[in-house]
Amino acid sequence: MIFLGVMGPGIITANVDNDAGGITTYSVAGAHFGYSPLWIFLPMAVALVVIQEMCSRMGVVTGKGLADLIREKFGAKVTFYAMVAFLVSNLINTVCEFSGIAASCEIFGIPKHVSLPIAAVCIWWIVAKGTYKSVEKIFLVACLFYFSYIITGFLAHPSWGEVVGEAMRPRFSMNQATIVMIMGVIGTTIAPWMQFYQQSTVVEKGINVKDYRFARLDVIIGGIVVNIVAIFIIISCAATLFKSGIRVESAKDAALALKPLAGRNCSSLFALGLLNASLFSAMILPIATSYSICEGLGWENGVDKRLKEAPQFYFLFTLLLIIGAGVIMLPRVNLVTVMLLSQVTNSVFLPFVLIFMLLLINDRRLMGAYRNSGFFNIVSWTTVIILIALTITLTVMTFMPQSR
Amino acid sequence: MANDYQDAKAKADAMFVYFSEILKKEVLDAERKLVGGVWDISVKSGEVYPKADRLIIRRGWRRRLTASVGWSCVTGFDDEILLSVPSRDLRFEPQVKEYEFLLRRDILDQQVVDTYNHKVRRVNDVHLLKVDHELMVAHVDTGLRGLVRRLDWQRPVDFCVRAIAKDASYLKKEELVSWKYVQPVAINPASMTMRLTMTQKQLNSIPPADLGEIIFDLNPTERMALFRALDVKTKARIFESLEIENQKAILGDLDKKEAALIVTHMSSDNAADLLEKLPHDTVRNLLTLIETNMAKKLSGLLGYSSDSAGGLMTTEYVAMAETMTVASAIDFIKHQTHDFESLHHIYIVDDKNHLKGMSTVRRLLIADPRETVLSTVFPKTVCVHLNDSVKEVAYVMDKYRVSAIPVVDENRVLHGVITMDDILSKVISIAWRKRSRASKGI
Repeated sequence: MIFLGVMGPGIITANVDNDAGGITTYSVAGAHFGYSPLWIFLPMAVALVVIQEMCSRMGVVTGKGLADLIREKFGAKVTFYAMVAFLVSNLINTVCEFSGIAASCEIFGIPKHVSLPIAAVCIWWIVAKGTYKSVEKIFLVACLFYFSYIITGFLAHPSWGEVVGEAMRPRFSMNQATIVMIMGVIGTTIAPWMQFYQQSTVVEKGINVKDYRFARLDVIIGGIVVNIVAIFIIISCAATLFKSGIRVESAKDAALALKPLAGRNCSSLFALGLLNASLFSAMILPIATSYSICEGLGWENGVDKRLKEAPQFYFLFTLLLIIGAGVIMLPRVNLVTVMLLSQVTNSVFLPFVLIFMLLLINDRRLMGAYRNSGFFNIVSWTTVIILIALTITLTVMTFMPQSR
Repeated sequence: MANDYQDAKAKADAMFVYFSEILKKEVLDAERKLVGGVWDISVKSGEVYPKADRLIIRRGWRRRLTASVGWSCVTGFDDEILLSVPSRDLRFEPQVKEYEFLLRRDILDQQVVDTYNHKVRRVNDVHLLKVDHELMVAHVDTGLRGLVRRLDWQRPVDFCVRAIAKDASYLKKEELVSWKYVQPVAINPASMTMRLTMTQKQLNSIPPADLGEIIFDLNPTERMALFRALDVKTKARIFESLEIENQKAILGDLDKKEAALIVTHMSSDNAADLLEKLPHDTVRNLLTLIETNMAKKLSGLLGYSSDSAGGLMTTEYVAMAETMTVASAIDFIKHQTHDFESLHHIYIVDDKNHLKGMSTVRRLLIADPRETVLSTVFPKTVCVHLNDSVKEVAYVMDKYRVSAIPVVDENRVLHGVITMDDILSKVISIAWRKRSRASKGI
């Protein structure tokens, strides 16, 4: 019973990892590489859980958000510039999510000039009028819709033997396309803003230290579920598009290409999943961004506050929504470029966030008995260093033309 | 004249310094050799405006070492800080020693409770007053301009703002909060409590509902630390103003004895409402610890459904025997009713507690003191039954325009009283539930 009360932050955050950018990357990976990327997801689940667990622990023990802690330990200057970077990278991410909304609605025949304003207004209304509890309920329901990808996976009739075989066998062929794909998958799954969001929700939920083990369970379940969903996205593309040799550039292409190969239902489900994921992330990203920025700079914030009580919070939130939806409304936007740009800004910012986190979680004054143990420190530093190395390589490679 | 004023203002400005400016200064020793940079200032807490006690100096880039000197050794305080001692007298150590209260560690960039505006704020800068050689904490800066100053952008930003609007409120309005009203939330790691810089009296001047909100703006550890620092009456007052969910959250962190003490100090109807929402064994545990009198009342109240008159009522009311004279009744009110929340009505009962009538203080005052109290009762006694619903109670109270109504059983024995504020909060919560269900549809 206690678990049901504590459940939420970990599962929601993990699921938001499968946002528009994530689904695009997975479908492209599945279509171009078949089942071979499947092995990545085991180490990835570990990395995800390790990082999210630290955020969750910091949130429960200190009762403060990540931005709060950065401000209190590293001072105003560091916080301000970190928040500027955070805003820029999340703004581009938000644009990405809206592109996902536009793309999936177009599959259902709704033009983006209709779908985007409606989506933006709905999101604004839910957040401005809702409370933390009602918003969380909507998010948990949205998590259920991710199962549409699991159904899609089954509808694609993959050969299960092959799937299991590939998932167990790491293959690291040294050609550039594979490396870019692997790093893209990791880069979209572990994004910097998630750590801020996860910790803030844990704090806002007011989870007690006594119930911490339930919060950890929440993180672990989230980490596993999200990877299962990702695996099924790859399976459904690999079993159909890869087998027929169809090349796609975006999740929308993938959904459309599924129609003749796996049937109309499969294609619709795939698009529905994309719509849900994009809407969900387009809602969470602006909240998480404005929440953390207000937190770090000392302004009133929170979903539970009214418009008048937290003007900066609602200003930032509204601004992100307007720009997010507005950019996609422009007539000539190259969505693939936006996706790439968001991956790059994420990867530039991620190392800083991870290092902040590790410094904070080892602070004796702050964490007391709950700071990292020696063993956990080795695990987390290794994870962080590998992630940093990968994201830096990814950034460098994105700028080198021959890698695409 | 204008010049004099300008001079005076310049002087006044020179006497105030921002902590962020001090942090940028270099420290020179008696021989004017560089010792290091200012790292922190320890202050003596417990005074209204705490004085600087020791200066903490840090040097080194890769191996960071800190040393501290007493404030009496600080002689110059202009572009750089001059010490009266040579640097070889300073002992540099890798760890900052444990000080009680440090400005950078405990105040700058941290959250504090602003007891003047009843809010939790983040400190962007500390405003210090320099008098002779003493340095005192005067204000904390929570404004936007303080933040801009911390980023070293004050000059360009001021210039831009001035160019656009000469009289912008940004330039004039400093959001300084006097130290008198600042309650730091830094926690003593040993006792896990917070040092109250303000008096209980100052705290009492904050309405409990606001205090409750302040407490929930803090994180759980700070919340409990501040809560523990309060006296039990204030705790009970805050408790009464909280939502049931929040009450449960705090109760979970308290030990049983403390919880029981708070429940004892709450009014009986509020306490009963709370206990009703707790698991049965917790309630049983609490009731054994609560004073017998209160426990008896509570277990009586707990027997009724929370949506009935019995569940709503309080057992705190003034009842008088029908045989009492008006004079002795007034005397009784003067001397025996200090603990009562309100004196809406006075209930007249017989020796078996049957309700005979209802009177008011005003009616008693204007009556003949030699008469019995029974002569002052209203011609009609309005009352509700224990099992009446909230709606019925609200209806009756509205119909007869009474601010409190007695609750009786089928034999007309008086059991309790429902006051306007109890029924109002209940009716409002029902209305809200309906409204939010209708408008949200989620």
